[in-house]
Amino acid sequence: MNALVALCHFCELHGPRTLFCTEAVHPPSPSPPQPGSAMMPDREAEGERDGEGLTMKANSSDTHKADMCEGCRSLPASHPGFVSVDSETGIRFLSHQHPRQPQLFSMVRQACVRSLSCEVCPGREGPIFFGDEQHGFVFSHTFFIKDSLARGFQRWYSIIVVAMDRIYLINSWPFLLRHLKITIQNLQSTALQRAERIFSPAAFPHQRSGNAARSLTSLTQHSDLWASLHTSFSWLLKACGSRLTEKLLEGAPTEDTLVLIERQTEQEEEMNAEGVDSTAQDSQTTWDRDFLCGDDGKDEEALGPQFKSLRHLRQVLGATEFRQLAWHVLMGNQVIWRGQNCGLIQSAFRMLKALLPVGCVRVVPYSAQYEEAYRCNFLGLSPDVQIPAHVTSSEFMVLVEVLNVEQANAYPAYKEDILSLYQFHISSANTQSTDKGPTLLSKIELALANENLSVEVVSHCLLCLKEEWMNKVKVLFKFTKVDGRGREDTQKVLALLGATGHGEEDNVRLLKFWMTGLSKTYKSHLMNAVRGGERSMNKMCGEMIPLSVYLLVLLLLSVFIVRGSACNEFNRATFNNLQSSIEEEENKGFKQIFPKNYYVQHHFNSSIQCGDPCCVISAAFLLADSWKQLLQHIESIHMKHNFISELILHLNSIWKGSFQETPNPYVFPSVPSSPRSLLTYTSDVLAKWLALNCPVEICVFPTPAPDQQKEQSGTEGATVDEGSKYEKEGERGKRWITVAVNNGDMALSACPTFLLCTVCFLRMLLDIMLKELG
Amino acid sequence: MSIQYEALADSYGVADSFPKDFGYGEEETDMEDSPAPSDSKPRILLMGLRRSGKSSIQKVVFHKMSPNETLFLESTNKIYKDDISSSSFVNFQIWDFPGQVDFFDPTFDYEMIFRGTGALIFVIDAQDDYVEALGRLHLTVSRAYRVNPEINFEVFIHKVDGLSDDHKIETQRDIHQRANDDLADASLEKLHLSFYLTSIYDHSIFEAFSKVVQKLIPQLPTLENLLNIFISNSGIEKAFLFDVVSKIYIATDSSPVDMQSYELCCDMIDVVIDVSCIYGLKEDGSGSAYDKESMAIIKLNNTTVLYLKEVTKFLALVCILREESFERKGLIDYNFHCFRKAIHEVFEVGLSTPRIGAQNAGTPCLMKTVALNGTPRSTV
Repeated sequence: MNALVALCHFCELHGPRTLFCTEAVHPPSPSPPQPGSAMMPDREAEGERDGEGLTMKANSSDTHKADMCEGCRSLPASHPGFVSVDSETGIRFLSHQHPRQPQLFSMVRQACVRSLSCEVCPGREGPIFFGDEQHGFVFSHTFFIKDSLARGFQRWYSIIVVAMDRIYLINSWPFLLRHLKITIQNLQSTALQRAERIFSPAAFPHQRSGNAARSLTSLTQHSDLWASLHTSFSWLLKACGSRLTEKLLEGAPTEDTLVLIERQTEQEEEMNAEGVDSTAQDSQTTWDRDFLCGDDGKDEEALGPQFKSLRHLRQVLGATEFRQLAWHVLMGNQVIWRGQNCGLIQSAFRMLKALLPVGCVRVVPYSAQYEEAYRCNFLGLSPDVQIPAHVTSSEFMVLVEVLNVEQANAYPAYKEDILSLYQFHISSANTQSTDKGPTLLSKIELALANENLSVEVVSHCLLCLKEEWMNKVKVLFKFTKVDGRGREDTQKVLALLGATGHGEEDNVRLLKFWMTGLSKTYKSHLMNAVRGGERSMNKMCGEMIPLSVYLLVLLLLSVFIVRGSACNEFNRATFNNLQSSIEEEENKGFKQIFPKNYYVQHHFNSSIQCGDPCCVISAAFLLADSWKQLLQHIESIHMKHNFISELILHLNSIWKGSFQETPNPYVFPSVPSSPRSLLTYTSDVLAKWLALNCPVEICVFPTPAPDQQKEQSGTEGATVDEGSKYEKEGERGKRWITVAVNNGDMALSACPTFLLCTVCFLRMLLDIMLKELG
Repeated sequence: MSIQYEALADSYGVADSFPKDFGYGEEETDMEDSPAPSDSKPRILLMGLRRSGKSSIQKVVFHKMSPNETLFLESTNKIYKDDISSSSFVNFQIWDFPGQVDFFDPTFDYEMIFRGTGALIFVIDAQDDYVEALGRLHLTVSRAYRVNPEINFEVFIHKVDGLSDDHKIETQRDIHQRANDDLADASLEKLHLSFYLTSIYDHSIFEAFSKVVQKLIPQLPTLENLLNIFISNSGIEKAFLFDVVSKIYIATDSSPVDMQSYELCCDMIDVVIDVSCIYGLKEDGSGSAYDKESMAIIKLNNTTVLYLKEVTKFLALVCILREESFERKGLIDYNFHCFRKAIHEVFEVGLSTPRIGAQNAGTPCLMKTVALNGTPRSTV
C-alpha cells in the first residue's frame, strides 16, 4: 500500500511528536523517479544528522533546537533504523523516527498534530479519518498509555496511517482498525500491568520538568518495542496493499482514441529508434512549414479570418458547394486547398477533419509542392504551386481555390467576414452527382442545417454518427476481410447495415475508405478472434468493441454457425434456459393463467414427431405455428405473451432455412389441445433438437395422407384421435416423402427468406439481449 | 418552584445574556444576523506555557473543581472550548490552549483564533522561571494585537500562593517591567497589558476573572451607576452583582473592593447554593438550587449583615451592610425591587436594539431614558 504508518505521541514537554514511522519504498525500476528511491543514497549520511535533523528545522516553526526528550524519541540518532524487504515485489519497508523526505516529513508532522491536538474523537480514544488532497488523508487511532508518573496518569498516543488515496484508505478502514487495535491493546496491557505495579498516589510528585517524559519503551518494559512495531507496521502496509487491488474501469475506448494511442506509441518508437536525427529532421520540417506559413503557423488563433465551425464553413461556401466538398472528404478523395492564407486553410482542414475518423485523416497543412494522394487526403498549397495534370484530371480529387478579393483590404474592420476577403472556387474532375450521397452525409447536413442545435451539440452529433458508421465499418471488415465471404453475402450484410438502397454506391465507398482508418488493435484483435475459433468468441466480449457491434458480430456469426454446423455453446445455453423455463411454466405458470378447459385449435400433431432431424424441424415449424394460433387469441398484455413469443422465436430459429418454401401448416388437420400440452410438445421438440446436435438440413415438409385431409375438412373439431389414427396406420414414412405442392402465393426464394429470418431473428434477439442487459 | 420559574422564563430570557451587538470588529457584526453559531460568541483565550495552570483556572472557576483535584488533571492536548453560556451570565466561550502546541505555526489559522476574541489571558507560572514565559507572552500578544487590536490583554501571574507577599509584589513589578519593556522595544506602546496576581487556592483567581469579564460588559457603567444609587439610598456598605455559577462579580459599586468582603460574599453564595441544593430540591431531585425565590440573610456577630437576593436567572445581588441599616428592610426591599426592574430593563435594551421599531414599538420611551441618561429614572 502506498502509505505510511506512524506512531505519534503528545509529549508533556513538547506537544505532539512523531515517534516512529514506517514507510514503503518502491523499487526504482518500474516507474520514473520514485521519491523513496531517490533518497536511498542519503542513508550513508544519515548518521551525521542529529535528532531533529535538518528537515525538522526547515519544516516546523518549532524554534527550540534539538529539544527531544526521552518521551519523544524512539530510536537514537545513531540507530540506522529498520529495513524489511519484500522479496516478491522488491518493496522495502523502512522505519525510523521520522520519514526521510522533507515533503513526507511535513505531511506526517501535520497529520500528527491534527490527530493529537486538533481532531476530536468522540470518547477520546478511537479511530477517526481526516485530511485533504494537499496534505494527504489520514486514518488515525488515538489511545492512552497508562503511566503513574504522568499528569492525569496517562499519556496520549496515536497511530496514524497517511495516504494520498482517500478512497483506498477509507475502504481499508475496517482492516486497519482491526489490526491497529491489536497492536494498541498489546501496548496498553503491558503498560497497564507495569503502572499498576508501581502506582502509589503518595509518590505522585509535583515534578516540574524532571521526570516529565518517559519513553514508551520504559512504559511498556518492552526492550524490542521498536523492532516489533516495525514488523507489525510493515505487515500492515503489505497486507493492506494486497488486500485490495484497484482496477481502472472505463467505457470502451472509441476507435479514434485507439488510433491516437497507436500513433503516439508509433511516434515514440520511431523516436527511440532514430534517436536525435529524427527530432532534428522533424524540427526542420516544422520549421519549413512555419516559414512557409509565415507567422500564422505560430499563433493561428489570433491572425486572419478563420473558419470557426463546420456550420460556418458551410455558410461561407454555400450548401451545395459544401455538400460537394464534404462528399469528397467522406469518400477519401484528396482535398486540395490552394491559397495564400495559410491560417484560413488550416482552419478549414481542422473543421473538415471532424467529418472523418482520426485514422483516415492525413493532413499536410501547407506545402510548397504537390504531395501524392496516398500521402495525404488534405493538402494545403500555396497559390503558385502547379498541380500535375494527372491529378487535375483525376476524379478522386477536389480542388478549392482561395482567391483574394481586392477591395477588401480597405476595410480591415470587416476582416471577420471571410466572404468579403476571399472567393472560393471548387473544382473537381468528378462528374458524378453527389446528390444521392452517402446516408451519413445527408444526416450531417441535416444536423448542420438545424440552427436550433448549438455548435457543441452538432459536434457531439457528428461524433455519434461517426461512431455509428465506424461500427458498420467494423462489421463489414469482419465480414469481408476476416471471414473472406463472397460478394453475395456481403450484399446481405450491407442491407442489414442499412447501407443499401438510396446512395448505396457511395455508402459502400465510404465504408471501404473508412476501413483504412480502423485501429490496428482492433484489426489484429478480430483476426485473432477468428483464428482462435469458437472459444475466443466469448473473449471477444472484451473491452475493445462497442457492445452493439459485438452483439451484432456475435449474432451474425452465431447464425452462420448454426447454419453450418452443430450446436455451439451459445445455442445450448439458450435452449437449456428455455427448457427450464418451460418446465416451470408447465408445472405452475400455465396452470394458473389458462382456464382448465381452455383449448386452442392448431395444426401440430404429436404424431409427426420422430427421431429424424427433418422430422424435428417440421415439428418445430408446426409448433411455432400452433403457438402463433394461441398468440392470436390473447392480448399483448397477457402475462404469457412474452414467453410465448419467445418460444415462437426459438422454434422459428430451428426450422428457418430448412425449407425451400415456407410450408403451409393447414395441410394438417386442426386439433384442439390445452396450452400445457403444447408446452410439453415444445419441450420434447427442443430436447430432440438438442439431442440431434442442432441439425441444419434442407428438408421437405411432410403432408398428411390425402384421405385424412378430406376427413379433416369434413369434421372440423373432432380430431383428437386423428393423431392416433396416423400412428395406427403407420403412414409416417409415406408422409415424409410426399412433396408439398400448394402455397404458391407464399413462395419466396430461399435466400431472401433466410436473410429475412436472420434479420428478424437478429433484431428480436438483439432486443431481448439488450433488454436483459439494460 | 420550577413551574413558576418556567413561566417567568420569558422575562428572564431577555436578561440572561449579553447583548448581541457586542461589536468586536467587523466580523462580529457580520455574524449578528446568523442564529448565533457557537463560534460567533466572543471568546476568552487562556494561553501560556505548559503547566502554568490554564486548565486548572478554567476548571476551578467554571466547573467548581476543587483546587486540590487540579493536580490530577492530565495535560491539555488540544484547544478545549468551554461554552458556559447556558449556565452562566458570562456568555463567552473559554478556550483553553495546550501550552505545548505552537499555534503560530503556519499550519494553524491563528488569525481565525484571534479575530473573534474578547480577551486574551496569558498565564505565567510565578513559581517557575518566567523568562521563557515572557518571551512567549511577547510573541503571542504582539501577533494577536496585529490581528485584532480590540483584544484586552490580561496577564495572570499565577500560583502566587507559594510566594511571600514581598516576593509577590517584587515578581509582579519585575514581570510588568520586562513585559512592557519588550513591548516598547517593539514599539507597541499602545498595547496595554493588565497584570493580576492569582492563585486557585484563594479567591484571587475569581476576582481577576471578574475584572477580565467586566471589561467585556458594555453596560458596566450603567450597572455600577445603578449599584451606587441603590446602596446610597439603602444604607448599604458594599454590593456585588454576582454571576452565581462562576462566582465572578459582574459589577460592584464604585467604592474600593476589599478582598475580604469579596471572599465573604463568595462564601455566602456557596452556602446558599449548598443549602438549597440539599434542602431546596424536590424529592425526585428536580427543581433548581437557584431560582426566583432565592434569598438569604446571614447575620454575623460583628454587627454585619449579608443579604443575598436573586436578580436574574444567573445573577444575584449580594450586599454587606450594618445591622442598624438592616432595620429598614422594607426600604431596602423596595429599592431592590426597583433595582431589579432596572437591571432587567438594561439587558432588555441591549437585546432589543437591533430590532428597534419593529416589535418593540411599545417601549421606546423606556429605551430612551436608558440610552440618554445611562440610568433609568425610575430607580429609587
